[in-house]
Amino acid sequence: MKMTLFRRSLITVLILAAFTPVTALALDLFVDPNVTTDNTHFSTIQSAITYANNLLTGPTPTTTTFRVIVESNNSTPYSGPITLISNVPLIGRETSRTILIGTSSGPIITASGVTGNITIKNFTFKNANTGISLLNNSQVKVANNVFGTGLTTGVQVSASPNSSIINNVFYQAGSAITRDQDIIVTNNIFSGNQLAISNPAGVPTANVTYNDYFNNTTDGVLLDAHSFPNTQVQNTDPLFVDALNGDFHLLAASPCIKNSGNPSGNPSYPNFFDSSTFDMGAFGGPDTDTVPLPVAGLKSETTGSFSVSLNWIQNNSYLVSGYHVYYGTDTTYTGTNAAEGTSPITVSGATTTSQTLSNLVSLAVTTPDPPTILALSPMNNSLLVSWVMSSGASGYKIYYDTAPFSAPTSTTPFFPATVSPFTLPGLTNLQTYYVAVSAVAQTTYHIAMTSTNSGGSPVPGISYESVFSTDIPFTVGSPLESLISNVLSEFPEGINPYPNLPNKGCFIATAAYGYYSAPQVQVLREFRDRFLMTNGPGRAFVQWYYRVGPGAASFITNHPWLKPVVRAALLPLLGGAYFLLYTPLPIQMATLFCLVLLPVFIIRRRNSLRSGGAR
Amino acid sequence: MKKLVLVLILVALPAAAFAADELNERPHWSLEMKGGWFIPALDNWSLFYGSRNMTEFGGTLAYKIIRQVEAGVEGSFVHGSGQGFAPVHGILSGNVKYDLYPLNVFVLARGVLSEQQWLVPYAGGGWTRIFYREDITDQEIIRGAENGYHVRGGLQLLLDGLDPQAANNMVRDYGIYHTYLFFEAKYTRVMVDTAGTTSTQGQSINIGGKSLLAGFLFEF
Repeated sequence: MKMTLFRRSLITVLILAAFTPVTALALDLFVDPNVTTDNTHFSTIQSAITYANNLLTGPTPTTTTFRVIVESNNSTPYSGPITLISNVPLIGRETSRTILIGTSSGPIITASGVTGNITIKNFTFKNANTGISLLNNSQVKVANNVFGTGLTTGVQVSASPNSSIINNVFYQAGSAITRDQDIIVTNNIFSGNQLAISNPAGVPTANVTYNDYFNNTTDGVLLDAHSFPNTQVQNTDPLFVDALNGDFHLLAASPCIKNSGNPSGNPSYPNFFDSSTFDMGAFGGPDTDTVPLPVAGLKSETTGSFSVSLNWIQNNSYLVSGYHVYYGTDTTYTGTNAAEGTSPITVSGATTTSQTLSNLVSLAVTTPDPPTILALSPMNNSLLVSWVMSSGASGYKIYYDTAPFSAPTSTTPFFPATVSPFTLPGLTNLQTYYVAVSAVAQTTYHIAMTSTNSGGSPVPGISYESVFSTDIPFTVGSPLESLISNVLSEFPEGINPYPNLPNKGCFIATAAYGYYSAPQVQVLREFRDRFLMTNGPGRAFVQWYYRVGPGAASFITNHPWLKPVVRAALLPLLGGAYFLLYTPLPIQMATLFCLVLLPVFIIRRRNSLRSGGAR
Repeated sequence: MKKLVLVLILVALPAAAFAADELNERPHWSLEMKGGWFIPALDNWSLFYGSRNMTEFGGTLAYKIIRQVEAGVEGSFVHGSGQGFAPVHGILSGNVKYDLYPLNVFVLARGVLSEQQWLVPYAGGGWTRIFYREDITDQEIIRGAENGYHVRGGLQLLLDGLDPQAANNMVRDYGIYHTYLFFEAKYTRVMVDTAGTTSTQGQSINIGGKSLLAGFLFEF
């Protein structure tokens, strides 16, 4: 029987399917404290690793492979200790902004007895006894990390002969790398460490090559011909953009950049973004992240009713090729109407630090409904105003006056506000104020920027483009203002705490100078806190003073002619207090020395005169 | 109460026989780290601060004059946040941070009859000086201090038996003879004449209160 074409095809497909190896699923587990946790999102690094471990070692182990991706979180660093498991690499989103700190005396990351080929990459390590500890591992790669200040040891490698340490920066650590075998150490920059690489007796250094050594107290190993300094490169300063503030990208003149005229970099480890180049440091090699640092110092300046001028600080990394300006009427930045183009506008050249957005149009807005004031709460020299916010309002005006009003005039004072509640400041206690709120609607543009690297397609915060800068709101067109809300009246007053305890200031000085906040009174108070309350006799004096002071103060208050006299009497004390509080210690010591010597000098002089010496 | 005293005596009695020899080599210092609740003696506290309690953290360092009696100092920190009072309006308003820094000098007796006694009652008391600080939003900070007294007592549980090897290492490496977990009650009385409006000026109030604390005691 002849097989039909359909049957033949079906059999072929089935045979192919039977012999095709089953590819294991790959799953990324994301660590981000700012998102809701689920099966792929975790709040801590260790919880993500533990989740993977449970699935890999459970009763029915999964064949899925896992990676733990740690989102950048430089405002609140992640903390150790973190224990790695076999076959689960740990990857930071951005080296500069994915920061790990230590909270115990042990290492931040420990990999002990793990098998498989795992990588620890794209992190900044700070403030710990040890950054990474590798012990009895089969194959662990430490790549593209910054081991910053506050580390006693950067990477500690024990009995892990297949480990590799590639494209890292070790900056001002105690010992950058300690090792007991000849592991691969290449394309790293060692700057300002006490010891760069330990060199135990009998351990070869054949795999320690193509590194930059600058200002280390001891380099440890004998430098190979490819490492700096060598015959071709004498000045080994890596020229970081701003090491003190954690930016270890390289300036264009850095010797650690491999280009046509520069010999640096291990050719076995080409740059991810350009396979013809081989940079040293944390932002080169095959495992580097390509996300530049965000734009800093973004400021706006209104240049017309519908134009805004932007200025920012230049990003000096040699990898940065330009910037993107995003704009729109909300934070999705999908604006299309600026004369300079649709969002995002490309600014070419890293050295450019300004851009204008013009012809931003005022969109149709409707007058919002008047808000309703809920309450005025008295506070000291202020009122706390709470109101029901109006739909469509971009802001509010808080009108206030000491006389009743039904509609504000051009002279009625007001404060601008964006949200309820708002504290109306600068009022006089026990004076009644009438307060109303109006809602304002106006077209508001939101502007943000990113910096971009060349070499690939830019995606903000993911590849070749930084995360967004601070958002800058910019309003255009005339505001539409609602009618005012209901008018409420209230008077502010000083608040008593509970319990209402006495403030034990300087009674006599307060009476003499007329008010408690007089600077002279504050000086005496500070003198009391720093020089009297810190010792037994001083405290005893203050105790005694608190007993007799109020009576004396009352007497001075009732006899105003005494005030100038008391002020004059307090002058030496004030002078002494000023001297002790506000002069540097060396001057105080020198003055004390002179005061001690003065009587000696006078006595010797007098004795000399008595014995007939010359005047 | 009688039953409790009886139980404590029974617990202590078996150890008494060994006391003489064991007390020859003894610790000379005590260090306590503790935390818990402070319940102010002020009637309207919860009205202003929303809770009946404040958190308290503290520590003590004492020298053992003899094995059972020690003298030392204790420092604590007590914090609460709540609202103030607008006296003319007669309503709650504003925000207040209220801090107390009690400083105690004390003598304390611990019922130690044997170094291996696992349950030890203790009691003591002494002089107290409370430094207070009231920070009202947008107003000046009120500071002051006043003297008083305190008494405290509790039970301490010897933890050395849980891990004798670790306990031996603590002696060898750090000179710490014993580690206890303790639970303590404390009463503090410090009277202050209040300030402010005429109606309340001169009223004498107790800014102390009761504390319920737990912590660790290290003897070295």
